[in-house]
Amino acid sequence: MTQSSVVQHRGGLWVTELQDWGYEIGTPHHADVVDGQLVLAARRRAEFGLPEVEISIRELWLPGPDPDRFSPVLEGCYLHSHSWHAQFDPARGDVAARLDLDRSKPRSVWLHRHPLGEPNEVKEPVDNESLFDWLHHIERLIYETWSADKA
Amino acid sequence: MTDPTPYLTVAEVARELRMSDDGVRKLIRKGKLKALRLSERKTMIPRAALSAYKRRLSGQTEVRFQMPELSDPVELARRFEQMTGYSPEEWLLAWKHDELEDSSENMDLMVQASALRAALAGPRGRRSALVAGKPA
Repeated sequence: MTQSSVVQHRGGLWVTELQDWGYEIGTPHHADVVDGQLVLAARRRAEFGLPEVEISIRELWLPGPDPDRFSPVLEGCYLHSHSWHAQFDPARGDVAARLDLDRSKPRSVWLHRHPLGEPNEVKEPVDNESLFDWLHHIERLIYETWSADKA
Repeated sequence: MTDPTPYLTVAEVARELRMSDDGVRKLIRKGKLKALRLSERKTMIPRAALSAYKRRLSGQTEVRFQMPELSDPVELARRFEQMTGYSPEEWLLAWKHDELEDSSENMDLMVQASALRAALAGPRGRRSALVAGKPA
């Protein structure tokens, strides 16, 4: 499989999953890509007392086995890096959650979470998290925020 | 009139879909209906996920993932430098040494710079650099 077909397959997974959670797929900013890059944007409008949420996804898949044996391998390509970003209530602009894969940092924080509402410097190491787990995590954050507001 | 609640129980969804609670649980298990597993005994279904399930069931056309056309890596690297003031390689170095703020925009640029570095080292990047008359 080529990098392009891996990105196509992976993009299909993201789109299906996002739509199942009620998101509309949009056009991302800076959508120019080179081989192996996946760029996606999605939005769910504010409804029933829940905030609007914008999700932006950027991943890089490179050919070959993972030289560091760290990330998932899909049909001969491995996930080199990613930025998964969820912005709550974008008009307010300061409430966001991120999950980054960044191999330029110490190995203990290659995969790390920037927790909701915390400053950018805060990094929480994460062992492993699939896109399915991450989207569930985001939904849980939305639920917890709603429950706390209601209480 | 108050807004409907954004979350429904399994029983509420079962009533809305006119099926049994077990039928709803089966949909959730199969991944056809998204649900929040809050604890072993508590599952809530976001109304947005229920609407998405109904849309899919009624065959409403949904967007599929469209692969964008690939750009020329040399041209994209030039634009990257124009936008950030750094070449992709310089950006990666500055990022590694924590000289750039760890914002989501900069993390996106880190992924982009890594992609450009890999693409410039690949056959398409080398070819395109030859045409442009400079080393990739």
